[in-house]
Amino acid sequence: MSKFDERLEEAGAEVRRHMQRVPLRPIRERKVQWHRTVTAVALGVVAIAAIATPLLWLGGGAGEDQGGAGTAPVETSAPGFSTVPSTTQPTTVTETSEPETTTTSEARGEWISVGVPVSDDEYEALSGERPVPGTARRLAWTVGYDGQYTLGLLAAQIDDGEFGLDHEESGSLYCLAFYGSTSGEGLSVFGAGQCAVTAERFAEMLAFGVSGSAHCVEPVTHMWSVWGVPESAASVIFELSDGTRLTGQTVNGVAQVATGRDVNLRSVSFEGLTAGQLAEIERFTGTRYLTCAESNDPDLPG
Amino acid sequence: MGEADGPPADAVVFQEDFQAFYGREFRSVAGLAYVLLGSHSGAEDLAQEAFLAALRDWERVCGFDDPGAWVRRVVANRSVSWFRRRAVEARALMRLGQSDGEAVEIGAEARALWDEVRRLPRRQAQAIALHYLDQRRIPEIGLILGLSENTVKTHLHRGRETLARRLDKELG
Repeated sequence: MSKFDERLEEAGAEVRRHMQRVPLRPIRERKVQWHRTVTAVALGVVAIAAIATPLLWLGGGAGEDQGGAGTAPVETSAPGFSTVPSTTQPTTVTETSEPETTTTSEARGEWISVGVPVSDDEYEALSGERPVPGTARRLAWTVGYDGQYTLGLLAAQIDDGEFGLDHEESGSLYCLAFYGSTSGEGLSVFGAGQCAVTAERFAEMLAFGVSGSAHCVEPVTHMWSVWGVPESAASVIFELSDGTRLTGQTVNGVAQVATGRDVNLRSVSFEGLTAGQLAEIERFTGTRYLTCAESNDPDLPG
Repeated sequence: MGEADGPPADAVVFQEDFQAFYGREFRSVAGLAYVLLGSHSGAEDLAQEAFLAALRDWERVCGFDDPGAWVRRVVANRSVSWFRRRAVEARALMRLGQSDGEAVEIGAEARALWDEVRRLPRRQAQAIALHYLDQRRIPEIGLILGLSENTVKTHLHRGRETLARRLDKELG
């Protein structure tokens, strides 16, 4: 038995050595506060989605925003992600301001295409299979190019039915995924993404940031999504900490943008919506995808 | 805890304590999760879930003699339901055309051994993982799993016996 014990101890030591190389993901109190907010919002998503007519594929396109006329952002003064009661008029989500940083991604070029949606037919052509025929409640696909990589960002809320979810769970799956290809011949699977079976777990996932360990995208990608945006929204404008304004077109109730630059989200504003519509908007905002840079997180002791 | 209310001294101490705890313990807890799940990315997720649970209740958890034991217990408990949940999530990702890449670099022999550990009854696998991976002694394992020392000894003994038998058979 002692020789066998040695094998077990060596197997344990090997895993310990391996785990020493695993980078720490940051847990910040700010993120937990945001998590609480997002959890509340996420639960709202389930409730609202349950009574709303599912949005169908809408189509559309978007690009770099030049500052659209008619945008009426209402700034919030509170730092951090603020909880927005459904009876108020939310038009801006403000993230805690942090020192602006730049990375080498800035030298790689700006995104030339942001917010281009992919219809289900196109999706089928890309993936060979529709994601979940007839059951996708929301699906938004954003394609971007940062001068080096073509990236696809996907957010989906999928109804129960084919996944065997238990009745005590929410009945929806929430997924975020990153796709990419350097070939320029369409998107290919890139190896990062997560789904959650409950809105709460999805919110937790976002609080930590979506990440994948199988690959490394140079050097950082941020993605922000707003969920539950009405079709009538002319545009959703994401203002970043460096002053850049990106427009995400609404696809299936989800507006999202992405950038290869290491910036924070400053605010989100909407065009073409009534106060009542604004109050209906749900937000999963601030999703961040950190890859290579993550292992050097200075916030945590080594 | 508004910024205008003066320095939130308690919050600062609270955060430093938790972050030091997180920095010190995360990797070993993730290692425990890894051998219980067999999935690298899943282990990180599960470990983070456990730490997030600790953070939410940190004022209470930090008062325990061994907050690390509390987090490990969360991991042990949640690893059971994780498989079912993960299967659903992984299936969804596959349907979305997304692979779940793993980046596990441990050797084939160690991986095969931990695969066998995961085939053991749940408590035996947990006891083996805590003993050989986390280097916990029997009283500590009892504390983490909420079992008596004798029960832990029994689980360890039976787990080792089963493993030795299976692996001997495998090696001929």
